[in-house]
Amino acid sequence: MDGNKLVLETERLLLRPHTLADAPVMAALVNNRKIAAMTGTIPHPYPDGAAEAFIEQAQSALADGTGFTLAIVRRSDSAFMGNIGLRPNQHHAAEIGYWLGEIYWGKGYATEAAQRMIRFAFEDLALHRVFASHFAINTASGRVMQKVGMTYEGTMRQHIYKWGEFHDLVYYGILVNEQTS
Amino acid sequence: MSKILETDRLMLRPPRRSDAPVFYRLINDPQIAANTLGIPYPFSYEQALSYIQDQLDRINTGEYRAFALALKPENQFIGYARLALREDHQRAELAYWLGKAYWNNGYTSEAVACLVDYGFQRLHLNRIYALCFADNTGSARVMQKAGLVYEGTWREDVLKNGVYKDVMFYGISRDRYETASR
Repeated sequence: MDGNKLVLETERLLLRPHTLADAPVMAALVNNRKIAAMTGTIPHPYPDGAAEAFIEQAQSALADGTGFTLAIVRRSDSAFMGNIGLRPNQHHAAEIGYWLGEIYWGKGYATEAAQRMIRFAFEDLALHRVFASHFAINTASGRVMQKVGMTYEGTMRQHIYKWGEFHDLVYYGILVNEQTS
Repeated sequence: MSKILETDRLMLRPPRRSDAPVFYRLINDPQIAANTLGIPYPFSYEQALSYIQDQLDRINTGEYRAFALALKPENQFIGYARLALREDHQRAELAYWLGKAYWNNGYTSEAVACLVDYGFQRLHLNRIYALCFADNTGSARVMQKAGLVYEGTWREDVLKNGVYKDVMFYGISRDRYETASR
């Protein structure tokens, strides 16, 4: 499979490979203190050139099949809204992660994207397990995990230090035989 | 960087290349492999050498505080333990194994209690955590005795010998450690 041709569709969304043309919109959306505050890896302010570097890395991982990071695009107007990624490991499991620009929160887009990505993981990649983690303060992300049928598996206490505070990290997982959609 | 810690019955000292023969004899064991996430069986002498070298490299970079567990008074090598540091999060992951001939004597608990104290008191960590297979009740007991609290189970997370195995995680943070120590 040429991962850079991978396109997943849902009712309202396209999950498609990034192009460098996405970089300005991505940088504008992700350069948001509220997003950075609830993720382990997104810095704030978001540095110049970081979106381009992220996209190039995503494209190369897609090309060699080591990672599947896609742009979340709204079909009705082709708006770039955020990212979703799946990173398989040698145990036939993959971690899923996602973020949406703040103006796109609260509409079920993350749930719709994650649901599709999980189906891709089980049906196309033949994986056994998909898991995800979120900062305990990010309850919206936890709700997404619940809505896509993931099961709460535990909380690593004070696992992440960010901006002067320790954050509990909450884990969810779903196994191939637990898929509902 | 080369620290030596001591308990009633054990010396915890940095691993050495000269540990390789006895290290190999103990680690090349299907029951060690069955109970650890990352140790295969069979385990060759060359793998033992490169395992030890890897520990030494990671000690040098500061990523690991790694220790051979040596039984007093002869200080023979009986097992291994390490803290994998993530200084940016002020935490460490603890991992350990003990040669089968030495099981059920409380040696691992003794070493782990020492490393938990070392992590909080000397390394000033905020959190220490450890993983074990859900069917490894011996390891879970070691964690509980050292004050680590059960935090959850990643279901069917690790493929080992053709079976997807549940992985439990246990942890202790500084607040709990200090409350328990008072």
